Amino acid sequence: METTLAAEPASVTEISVAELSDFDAVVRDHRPAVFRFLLASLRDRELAENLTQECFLRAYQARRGFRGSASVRTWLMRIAVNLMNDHRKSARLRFWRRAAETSLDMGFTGDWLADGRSSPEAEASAREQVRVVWRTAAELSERQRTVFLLRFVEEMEIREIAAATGLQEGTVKAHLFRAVDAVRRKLRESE
Amino acid sequence: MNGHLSPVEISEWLAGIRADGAERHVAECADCAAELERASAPLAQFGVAMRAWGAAETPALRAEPLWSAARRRRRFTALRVALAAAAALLVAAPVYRQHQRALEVARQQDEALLEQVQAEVSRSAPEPMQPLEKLVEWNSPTGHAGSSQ
Repeated sequence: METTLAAEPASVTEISVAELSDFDAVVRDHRPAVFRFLLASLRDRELAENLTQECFLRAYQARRGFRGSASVRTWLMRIAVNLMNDHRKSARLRFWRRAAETSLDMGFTGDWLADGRSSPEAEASAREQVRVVWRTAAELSERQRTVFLLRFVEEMEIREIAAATGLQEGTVKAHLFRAVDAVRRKLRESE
Repeated sequence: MNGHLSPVEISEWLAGIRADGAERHVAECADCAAELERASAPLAQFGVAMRAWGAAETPALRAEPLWSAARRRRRFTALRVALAAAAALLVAAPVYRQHQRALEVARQQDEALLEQVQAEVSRSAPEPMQPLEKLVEWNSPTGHAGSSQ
């Protein structure tokens, strides 16, 4: 199936293109999500920050070519995914393996979960589940991890993930299924 | 669809894949609906925690972000091109004028030389022999001196 966003309403296209005219606002609105996605994917704060800068630099340079066939967020995520893939291909960066070995938690301990559960036990259980998901994400293949983070952290639709990754929707679903299944198995094991 | 959703079908559901009749079954089966909710909760909690963590980790913008530097660089480049063009004009104008002057001098010299050559060619005898030419004229039968002999 060909992935296209051409069927989006014209108003969305117009909004997307108009949104880019104020680039400072684009940075303000989307930089946290791009940085968060790169940080969660790479688990290297400095690299995530550098790639975020690079992402917005590329976007700035390419903004006149943006026709609004996808939302600005999807477009930025596509640039971020491409940058990340370029880094993965470079020989000097075996970062994921290194990151998985040395900086797995990076301060992400599950304590970021908001309080409000019925009991301290339920809260502890929820935090432990979040930690299991975080650790399992590190063990996923790159594509599985990318679609998993885009779906469950960035809350993007399958169609948007397909546009951001350049994959077909069916392929996105297949990667997502494997990622979800792996996470659920780990969760069952941890119970 | 027969029976409740299997673990694989629940993972498929969470990945956006719907088996035949699954949606209708979930709509009618409270157990499967509850199981789906239970299965999706850790993923939703993970998203919430990641977004909170990401917000706290997001660094402040650098004093001059790269795209801002690019914007400034582009303006500076345009200025540099304009200055370079002006400098080239300033250098080129005198050189052009000097070149034109040299051409004019060469043209005048050529004209003078041509005039000189023309003068030389129009003489019937070289300059040192011109007195002899006058003598020949003097002794010519058609000449004034000859007729007097």
